[in-house]
Amino acid sequence: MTITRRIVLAGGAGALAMPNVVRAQGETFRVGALNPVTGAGSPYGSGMQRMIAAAVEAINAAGGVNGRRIELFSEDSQTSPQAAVLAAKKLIEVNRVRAIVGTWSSGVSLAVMPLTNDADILLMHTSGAPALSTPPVNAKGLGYRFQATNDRFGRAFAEIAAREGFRRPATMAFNNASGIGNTDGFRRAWAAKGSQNGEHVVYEPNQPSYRAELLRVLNTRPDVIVMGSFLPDTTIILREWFQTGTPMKWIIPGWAANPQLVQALGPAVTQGIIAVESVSNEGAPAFAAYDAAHRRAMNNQPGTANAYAAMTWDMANTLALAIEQAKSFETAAINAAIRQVANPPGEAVATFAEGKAAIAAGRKVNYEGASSVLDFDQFGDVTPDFGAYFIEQGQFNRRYVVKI
Amino acid sequence: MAEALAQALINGVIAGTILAVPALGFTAIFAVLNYPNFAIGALATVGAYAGWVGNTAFGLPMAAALPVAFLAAALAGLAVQWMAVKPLEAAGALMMAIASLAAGLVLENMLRFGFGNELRGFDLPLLRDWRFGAFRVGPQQVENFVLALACMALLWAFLRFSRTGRAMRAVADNRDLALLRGVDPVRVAAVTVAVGAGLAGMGGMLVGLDTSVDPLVGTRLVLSIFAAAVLGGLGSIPGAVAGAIAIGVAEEVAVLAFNPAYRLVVGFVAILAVLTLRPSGLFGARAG
Repeated sequence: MTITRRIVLAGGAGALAMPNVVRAQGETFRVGALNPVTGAGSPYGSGMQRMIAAAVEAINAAGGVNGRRIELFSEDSQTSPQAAVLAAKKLIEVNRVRAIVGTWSSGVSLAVMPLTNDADILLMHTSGAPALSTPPVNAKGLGYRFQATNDRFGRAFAEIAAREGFRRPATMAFNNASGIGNTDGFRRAWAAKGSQNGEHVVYEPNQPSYRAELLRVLNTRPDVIVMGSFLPDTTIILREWFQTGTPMKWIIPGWAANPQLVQALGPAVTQGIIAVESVSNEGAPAFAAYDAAHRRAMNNQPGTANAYAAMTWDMANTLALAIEQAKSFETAAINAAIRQVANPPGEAVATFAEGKAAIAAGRKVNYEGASSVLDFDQFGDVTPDFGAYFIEQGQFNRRYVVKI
Repeated sequence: MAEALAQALINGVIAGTILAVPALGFTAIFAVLNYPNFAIGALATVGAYAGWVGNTAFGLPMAAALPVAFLAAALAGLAVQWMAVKPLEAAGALMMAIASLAAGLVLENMLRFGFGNELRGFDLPLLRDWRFGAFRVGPQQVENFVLALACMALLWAFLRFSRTGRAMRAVADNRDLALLRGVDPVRVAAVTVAVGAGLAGMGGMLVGLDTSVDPLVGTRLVLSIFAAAVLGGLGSIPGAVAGAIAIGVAEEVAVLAFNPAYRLVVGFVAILAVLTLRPSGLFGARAG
């Protein structure tokens, strides 16, 4: 038979009349991974990126979402809002991604969310700034936070400070939304316990020395300094504190008091520091799946080494399950489905494949994540538990877990 | 309060003396080549890494690692001068300044590629401060202070007694007259850039000794260096030293008086005040 114009037209019309899924066979659902591969978040960024890729691989192996493969585009945020905005623009305008996952540090997420809002796509992040919960930043409710807010971190700090019997806490905060969020959260929670707050210093980033700021705090003779800080400034402050020889304790968020800090300063300086980090959902089946993937991708390092990688693993799975649940690729429908697949009630599922099968069978699912049980409140925030890690001879020993 | 002020003065003088080393480099390049070299921050970082490599990989003590820092930064400074700045010489000082700024970004990111973003510490024991009554001062601070003074003494001797040093001063004072007297301008420019960049490298290493080495260690200093040079009078050697000490002290004292978040303002206010009240700076005759 000869191919006439009429046959071609008829074929085209037939193709258009076919259901979405069939026509879309070549199409993919595009997702942008925007992670801190360099900059202050670099200890976590590569792991976060690789765990998104590993989760997407598993999702595609299970048949993809609504019949489409997920296609991943990865960019480095450089832990810098300016670089992150450029990368997000590229992901949105050039790659046409339908969601951005895995931003780290509040400065970055605060800068990227207006772009994702404008493009009407989802942003899943690991940043702590309280402002990310509410309008104007999260005006469309398209932002989801897989990490605890800085305010909750501050509450955990206060619980730990009380449990350790500290009486005269001072606070030092890096001058950004995250640092101040931590110390404000602590000071509020501490005051709510009926206790007195001490000196509070907000310092500028990128100084060669923090001696003057530190002496201002030490002059008030605190028994503990609670930090809202990042790794580079914490390194300098602790070195200068050690030189003063002042006996006193520290409570520091886990993204600043990490093995890199011990490596830079040595075990003598870091002895006795209390590092506080949200704890992954370690007993859960989802964590076991994540841990295996993390060991494969990251040179046999256990999944517990990077709490943020567990969060990004959960981001990919939550997003994919929500798409399955929504049976749509439209942002509004996916957004409406996220709490349906992540929050109770429903059948607890640990992997995308499991959840996909349950959804296909018409059951309501509740994804219990690797990073936390992953139940989103009205603001798109989760409430993980917190571990109090004591640095002893350079080792991080988790003494107890705090629930708030 | 008086004690805190005195302590801030001590810390400020030490910080300022260390700051004076790269500020001298910056102002020397300005005096002879007539443009502000904003690669100075990245050159300081190059020096910090070179000194760190010398110390941790080859076990050099500080006094021996400093010349390594000088040499590496001097070579990098010459590369910046010849590859980025010199081709734009005809376009004027502003273009040269912008070229140096861009070259600094390139250098910084080359270091980032080579060494990564991690913080590196020198292989030094962390020592407790010495205490004198209510005051304290760190042994490392004192060592850095002495090393900074030694760098400046060497520079002074070089400018005062060596033939090349005298030629540099001659070109800075009156370029045309110096050329008439047979000074080789290319050679003087090269030596000035090498010495200026080398000083920046030593300054970067001294700061890295006290804190840590990372790709931004020099960039953090740029505003303070520029403010010190402007305050002292761009192109004035004693001015750079006086300006650096004044900025060092002002930054420390400001933290006592104001919210530390405004510490950065000190440099900007100093630049603004000088440009408004005395554009030639404290010691500058020619910059005005």
